[in-house]
Amino acid sequence: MTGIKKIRLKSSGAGSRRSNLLLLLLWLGPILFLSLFFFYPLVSILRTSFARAEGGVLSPFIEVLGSASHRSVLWFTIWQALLSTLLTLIVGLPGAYLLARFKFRGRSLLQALTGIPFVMPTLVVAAAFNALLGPHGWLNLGLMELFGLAAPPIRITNTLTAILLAHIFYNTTIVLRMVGDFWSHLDPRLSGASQVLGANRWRTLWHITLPMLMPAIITAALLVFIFDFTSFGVILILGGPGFATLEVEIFYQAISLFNLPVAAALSVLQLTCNLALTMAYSRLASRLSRPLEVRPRTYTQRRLTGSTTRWMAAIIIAVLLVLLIAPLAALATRSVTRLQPERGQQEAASRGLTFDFYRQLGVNPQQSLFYVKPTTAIGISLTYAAATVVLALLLGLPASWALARDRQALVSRLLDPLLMLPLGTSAVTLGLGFVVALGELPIDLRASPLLIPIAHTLVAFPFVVRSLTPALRSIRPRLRQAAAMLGASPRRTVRHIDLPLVGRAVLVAATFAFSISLGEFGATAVISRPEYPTVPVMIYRFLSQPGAMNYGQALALSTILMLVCGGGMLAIERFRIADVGEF
Amino acid sequence: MKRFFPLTLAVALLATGCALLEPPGPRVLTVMTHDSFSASDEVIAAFEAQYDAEIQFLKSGDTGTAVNRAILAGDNPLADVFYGVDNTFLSRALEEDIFEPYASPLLDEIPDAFKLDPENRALPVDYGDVCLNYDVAYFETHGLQPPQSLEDLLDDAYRGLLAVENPATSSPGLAFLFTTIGHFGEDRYLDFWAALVENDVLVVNDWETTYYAEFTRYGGTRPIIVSYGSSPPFEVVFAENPIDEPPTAAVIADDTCFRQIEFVGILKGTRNRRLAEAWVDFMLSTTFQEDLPLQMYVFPVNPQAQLDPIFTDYLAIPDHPAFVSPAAIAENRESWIEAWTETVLR
Amino acid sequence: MGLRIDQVTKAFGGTIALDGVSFEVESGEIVAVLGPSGCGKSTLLAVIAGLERPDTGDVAWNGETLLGTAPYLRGFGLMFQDYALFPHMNVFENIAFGLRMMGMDKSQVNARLEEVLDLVGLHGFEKRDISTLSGGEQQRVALARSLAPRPKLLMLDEPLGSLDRTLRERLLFELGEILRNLRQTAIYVTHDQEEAFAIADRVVVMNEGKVIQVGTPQAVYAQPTSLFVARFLGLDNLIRGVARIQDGATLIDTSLGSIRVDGQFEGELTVLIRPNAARLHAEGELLLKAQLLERSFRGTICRATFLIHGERLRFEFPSDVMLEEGKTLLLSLDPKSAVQVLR
Repeated sequence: MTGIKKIRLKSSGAGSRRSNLLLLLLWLGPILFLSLFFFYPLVSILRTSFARAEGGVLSPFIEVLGSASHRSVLWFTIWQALLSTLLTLIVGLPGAYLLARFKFRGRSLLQALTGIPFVMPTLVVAAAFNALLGPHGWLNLGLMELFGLAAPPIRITNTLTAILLAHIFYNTTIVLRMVGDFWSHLDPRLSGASQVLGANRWRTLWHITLPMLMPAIITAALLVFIFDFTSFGVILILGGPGFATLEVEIFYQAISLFNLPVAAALSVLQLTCNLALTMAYSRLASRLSRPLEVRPRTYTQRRLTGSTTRWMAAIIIAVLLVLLIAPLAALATRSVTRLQPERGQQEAASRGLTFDFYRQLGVNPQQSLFYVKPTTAIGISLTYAAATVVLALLLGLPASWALARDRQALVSRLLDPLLMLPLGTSAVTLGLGFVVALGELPIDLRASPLLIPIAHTLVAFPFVVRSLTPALRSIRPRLRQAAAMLGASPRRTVRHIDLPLVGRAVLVAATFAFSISLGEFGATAVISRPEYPTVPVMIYRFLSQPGAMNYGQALALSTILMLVCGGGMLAIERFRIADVGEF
Repeated sequence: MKRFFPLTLAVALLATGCALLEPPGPRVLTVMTHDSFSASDEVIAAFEAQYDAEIQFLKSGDTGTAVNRAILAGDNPLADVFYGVDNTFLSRALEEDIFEPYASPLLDEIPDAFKLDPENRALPVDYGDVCLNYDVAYFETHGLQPPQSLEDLLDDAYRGLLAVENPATSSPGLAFLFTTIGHFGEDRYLDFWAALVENDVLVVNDWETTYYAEFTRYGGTRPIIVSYGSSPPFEVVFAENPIDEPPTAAVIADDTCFRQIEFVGILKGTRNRRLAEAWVDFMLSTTFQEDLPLQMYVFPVNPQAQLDPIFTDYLAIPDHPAFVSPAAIAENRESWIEAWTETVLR
Repeated sequence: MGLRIDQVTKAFGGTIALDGVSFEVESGEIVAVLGPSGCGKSTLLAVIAGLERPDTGDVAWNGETLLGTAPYLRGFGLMFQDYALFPHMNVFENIAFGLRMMGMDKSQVNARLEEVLDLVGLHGFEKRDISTLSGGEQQRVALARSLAPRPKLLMLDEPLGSLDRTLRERLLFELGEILRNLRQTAIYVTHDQEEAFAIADRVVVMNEGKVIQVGTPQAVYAQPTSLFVARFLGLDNLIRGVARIQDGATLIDTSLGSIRVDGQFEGELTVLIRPNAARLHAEGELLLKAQLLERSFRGTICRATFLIHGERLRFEFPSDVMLEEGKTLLLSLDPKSAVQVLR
């Protein structure tokens, strides 16, 4: 025991100054980026807001904490997020198991399909849920037909169920990817060893598999929780007026009432909750993580054989299809279905197939200045997405490398929880912060298209770091030393050892950055240039106007967005970095 | 296609990079506006040609967000001109003093009823009415008469037929709240709402869900909803199959609608005052005013502007919408919404 | 009584890992499964443990099939290659895991752990983290973990594979002693013939998913039945020949001359000449003129390479035999004991 301790002390004493310098150097880019585009705008808007408070900085806090309705908003925000996270894990973990442990035809497709919900605009998702579960949705119509009911038996509009379903719909992919990727590299012999030692499947799961998966599970849970905690569109549109999270309340206070001090106090409250949670997570994560031997997928994955296994796979896939894919399918179907009966043919009949909505996307009937072709919008969306992937990886790789090198270093311990903050910050508040702060820089970025990939990167960055750090940490120093002894320069060591070993994780990180940008996370925070509309922006344009054609075109464009997203993810999946085959 | 995406990336990012490095030339006029703004290509091109200028539009979110952003930009304005603040947000913009006064010569042509700022910091451009809309087919098949007043909505015949938006989160929802306040007065509007709740009113947070999910026309369960007076002509223009009569109609009886007037103003600190004035004049001129209806489905304040036949055929404009003054709105917005929330949602 | 493997076949996709494997393990017996890497040894263990299901064939214990029995109900122990120790548990928790799964209470677990730690000599290591252990220590933990629940059958998969030579020899000796003292029924998988011969009562030689030869270590070494086994055991004095029958006896014509052997053979075949069969006497049935190319000292023996009629052959002699490189000597062989015919 003591011997080991001594060695550790010695090594940290000798090279500590040099390695601290290296760590700082690695942190430089990420710190500059976050300071400039996150902390500076945030502090600016908070200062401006509190300066408007009449009774000093404390008065808005006293007002917020003293108000019963704000307290109940805080309470609801917390428990709905907890419940949503728990349900998302329950749905996601079996799926992660399936994707991690088995190879089967359509595996990549299933993974890509389950990632699509993540990018769908909330209004479109509401339309999809409505098509399935609404009063005239397929499920209700079916049940009414089946049991001869007069009224729709299922009411989901404006219920907690709708919120929970939507949160599961959106965030299951986080669990599938984060836990699934980690799981696929766990040595399957460990659960074999446990079974030989007399533990049945469930006890093996409980005592061996889950504890070893814990680092990945709590990371995924943290990300899902923060998304649910700061949930806005889902609460507003699917939850209806009966529910409000802190983010909804911040929007109401800041935008509708322009009560900036209270909005700022609520933002600080929201931020504090997320920071506390992230710090708790960091402590827990360092306690739970173990040095693991990673195994290539060829080694850990097997075919689906045996009827029990096949049944299990079928059930898991069915659950994912029903919860995640069915709403998407409903949307796609509606985008090629006539919405309105022809005149004179009330209800029924004439609900035929149509491609009018797609055809009409290529037309600019009103000669509008802001019309763009759908292909152009796709190009713009993909451009922003590519820029986000590049920027997020450029910043995320050094940061994760620094975290992986020395978790115990003071810089790392301080910065680790801060990295997650942009994710847990009110987009409304940060958006106002951009306006206050970014005009003061030498270059006015407030209305620049450059700000869009930057805003997307703020959200993508924590995902990149969380995906990469565990993979980088799993590279044992011995491997790098071995490469060095075989004559590899540090640069070539990175190229031939580090990169191939973390290649998979880089792909996972890239997929997240791509999806986040494509889904326009944090877009409300940015002033948009109408000459560069992305696909989601175009969808909202159509949905904000009455008319069956507008609605149909919104659905058609959403379907196109799904295809672009699914195609993009499959392409990333196929992409190989530095001969990375199986890791 | 493969070559297209990197190319777009390069062009888009490079172009802005260059634009950022160059100091803004006198020829570029920046117009900040809300997300719903639209205009015809040729109309804007005409202005650009006439003044040898380039117009850069900035879409800054919904009306409230756009106004707040303009305010927070302070001494370093994001644009030269702000268009789109309406009478429900007007007082906020004026109180925060973000506009420079400009007495456009064209103001003479515009009826006084639209001019809500005597100092001419904010100049009226267009108006639109938030009205009850109903599904014509539903009322036909059920042999029901559409409501003709707010009081009608309390009738048992309309029980469970109405969906409205939440005034805390939706602009038409807020407008409808103002309608009830304008009609019933501050002391009695809550009684009306309590009675509406008794009559099973459905409250939805946003217009999109109300219209496309709850409205019977789109598969919902409510044949009466709060939307715009211009929604019926929209239904004709954006029909799936050409139709000659709108499937929905707006109720335009006295005191059942609320008029939203949109204003333009020159932002304090502009470096293009002359060009900004020219743009404001242009927005009030018939060229732009006649373009408004088909682009944004709002109506010109300049009576000289001719309306497209589609509007003269299908549009009904209320003669006497309910009225609440911008000052009263600014004063009471929060307390009204809170009282409403207390009555309707709790 | 014991384990019976009967015609077990297992394929993964297109590759056949096990191809009609059959053998038995008697109660209390240690059987070594010997073969090159990739011959299907690990798959065989996985099938016996129940972690893999055979495509065809049967695995039975005391005459009853195990195919329907889940791994955790078989009561077998498996010590994995690289040990597969649970990284999130310390030494104590790893070893106690199987006992806890049996539902033992705390005091029973503690008592059994005392015994097992004694057995493998790991007292004082209970609280240690797995990642701080040396290879030999990990090996002992893995052994202790698989022994603790008193498995009916213990399987060891290359248990000494990654250890250095001296440690390997010491642990091999200790392991053999532990297993024999416990009268533990065991299957010991290895690619190292020395390990197999040292520890096993019987050896099963496998190649490409098939069982090639089964027998006691002495029998297998003395009588390899195939070219593969001979080569695998390092017996490489192999020469081609053609057999014919003359006067009721079998003569094989080789480059060394005609060799008379017992038994009936005909046609082309390979002849193995045992390395310890050569004598430096100028008398005997088969006398060969041999040029000494090189010799190397190996402790008690000395290995010498000769060029004999164009063939390079290697023989072993006691170290005290004087051999001079470059010289030509006369070697004698007794075909009866020195020569074996392989097919």
